[in-house]
Amino acid sequence: MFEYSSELFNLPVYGLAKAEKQAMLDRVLVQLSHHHYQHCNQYKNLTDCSHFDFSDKKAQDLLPLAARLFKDFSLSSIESDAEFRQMRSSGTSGQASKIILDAESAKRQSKVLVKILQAWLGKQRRPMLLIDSASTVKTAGGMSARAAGLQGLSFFGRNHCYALNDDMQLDLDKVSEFFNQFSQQPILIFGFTFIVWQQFIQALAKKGLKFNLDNAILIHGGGWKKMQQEAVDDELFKQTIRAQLGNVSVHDYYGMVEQTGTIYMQCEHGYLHTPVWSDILIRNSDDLSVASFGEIGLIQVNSVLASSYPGHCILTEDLGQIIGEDDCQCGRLGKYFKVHGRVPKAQVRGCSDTFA
Amino acid sequence: MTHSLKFSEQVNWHIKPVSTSLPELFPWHIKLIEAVSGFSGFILKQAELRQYPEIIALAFWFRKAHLDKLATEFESQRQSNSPGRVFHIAPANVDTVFLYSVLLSVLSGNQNIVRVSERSGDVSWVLIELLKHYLNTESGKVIKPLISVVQYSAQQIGVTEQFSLWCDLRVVWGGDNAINAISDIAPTTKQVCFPDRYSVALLELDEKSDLQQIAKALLTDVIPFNQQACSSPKAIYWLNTKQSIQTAFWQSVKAELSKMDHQLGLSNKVEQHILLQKLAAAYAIKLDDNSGNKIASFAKIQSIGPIGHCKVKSLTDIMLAEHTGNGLLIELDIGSVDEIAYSDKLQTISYLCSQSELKPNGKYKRLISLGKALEFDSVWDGVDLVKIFSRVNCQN
Repeated sequence: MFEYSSELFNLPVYGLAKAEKQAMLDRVLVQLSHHHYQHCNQYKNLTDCSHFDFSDKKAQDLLPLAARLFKDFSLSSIESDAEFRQMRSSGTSGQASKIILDAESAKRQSKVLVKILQAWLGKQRRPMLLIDSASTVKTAGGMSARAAGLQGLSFFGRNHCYALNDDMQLDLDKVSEFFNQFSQQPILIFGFTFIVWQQFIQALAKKGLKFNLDNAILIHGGGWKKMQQEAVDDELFKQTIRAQLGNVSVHDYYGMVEQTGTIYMQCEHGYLHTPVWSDILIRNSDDLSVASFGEIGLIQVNSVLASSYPGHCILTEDLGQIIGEDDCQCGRLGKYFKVHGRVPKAQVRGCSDTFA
Repeated sequence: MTHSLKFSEQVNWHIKPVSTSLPELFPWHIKLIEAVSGFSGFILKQAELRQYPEIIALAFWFRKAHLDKLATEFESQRQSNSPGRVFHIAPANVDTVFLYSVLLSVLSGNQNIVRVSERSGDVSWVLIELLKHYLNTESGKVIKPLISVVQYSAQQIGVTEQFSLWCDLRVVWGGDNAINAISDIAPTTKQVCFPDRYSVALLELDEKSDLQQIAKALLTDVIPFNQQACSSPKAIYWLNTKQSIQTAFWQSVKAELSKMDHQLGLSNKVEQHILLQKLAAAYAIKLDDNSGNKIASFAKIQSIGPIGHCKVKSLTDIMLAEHTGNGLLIELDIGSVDEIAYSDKLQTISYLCSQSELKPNGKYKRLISLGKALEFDSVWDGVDLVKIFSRVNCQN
């Protein structure tokens, strides 16, 4: 059983300066490496592949496990009877990733997700519009990333309303009723980027319908691949939403099923932010060396949340660049970064970017 | 004839079957040889095709002189058989191989339908366009009734079934999954298949070796189909070759690569990293850094531009069979050819040895000089295609 220090999860989400944060991550991530080396055979094999000795190492020296390995292997550092839940990516092509959680890891993930989102939403639950169909959550046999996202976010809302019917078409009566009832209140809207765009915003636009919300926040994620195909960028997305719905603060987020609970929220200045329990590294694709701030390369995500599988340092197939650390104009501490989509033509990993 | 094929499902004919009567020419008839070698000349006349070395190689293979030679060999073992119908299912990974198979079958006078994958590369589409044009020329029209090219989804099992019932022989170019799936469709169809194989290079270099030439030859075997051809080497066995020479060799590879066109990009580089991790996680493959010391870094491949390489301490047939191409060369130092991972799946050993006389002693299909791994042979993977295509109507 991996032990965390009791103060770790009381740290301020965006309030720990670089030196302290990096020292904490170095310590905990190396401990996690030791733990997985002892409990996960594949992780041990990977480490021993080069006689790698991770004692006295820093977080950036640790092996970044390729996210793809979660498709080919059931990576686990727990006994099978301690398994609490399996998370699955909802990719349409090829195999899905399998993430094995024990109860403690699942609990930490939920707890941290709450802390991160409360830093953006406050503690008060808001009337919530979910841009999806209620059946997405009900019918997902295992735990699809989309269902998990909808369920996780529901915690921050009240008077939940699903904007789409079972055929993923706009349910105009329900949405109108919801907006009429709550338009003066701080509303939370949540959905996956492409679904929000195509099934909600475009559907409203086609009907020529506009609303005038007073104070809403839209949180959306799942990737820009399909949006790029339609030549919609972040700016156009935001503009269109404001034109259609009124005063809405729009926040993209980045995250993946391999590190559920850790989400990277987009601030008012358009950058994604690392919460204190996680970090981003950019690696040069040729030799996996750590790239400088500003350089575009493969995104590595580090997170201390889960202990049941060796997913504390993961090499994604996404491209991104770090803009800076601790000095974003929004005032939040931690690295802030941009995502530039998937490596072109690499195997589609599909987190939630699956609805077409 | 082909016009009797009626589909309820959508198929996309790149070259439509024609309902004119067949030429009824016996195998390797001079008219067939002239028409096929005419296609070769048609290609070689077009200067802009020089950017496709795979197409030039194909044209060169089907030149008249080579076909005459094959015809002579064929005459010595001719049997009286009438032409038949052949259904070819082409692979997506190697763009030209389907056409070798089809043209050899045409030379035997057979009528051919080729299914191409929607995932086929650019070279396939160029070839199909060329063929379409050629079949409408004076010299090409002789064989026009013998060739049609169709594209449809592998999920359209009913279509595969109809073509399978139509033909006398089905030719399936791998991989194993495709072969298994297709074998279940019209299962009594006479069939030749080319399952997944892996290939390796064997190098024995010394101070006198011409590293530049050897690097070029290796890249000729590796680069053309992003190393995904089954005859492209996935690994290099260094036979009694000093590390300093190996290091110099990789510098030569780097220099050669800078002069070459290639299709390997970022996604292939990412696949190289992932492949090493998969092999390490599954089979505990270990890197060999020649020092034995604990080293400061986690396991990673070394990049020579778009090519990756990594030296390991042991290498098995199972690991090689899982290699997905994408430009990664796994290296192993060996003291004897007995250490090669021989198996039923080992196809080609492309070799360059400076001294000892080479006698690989184990299961493999083909031994060839480095740089010629991708050259087609009418005996492919142990199957004599000339013989097979000239007796598609035989019972066995």
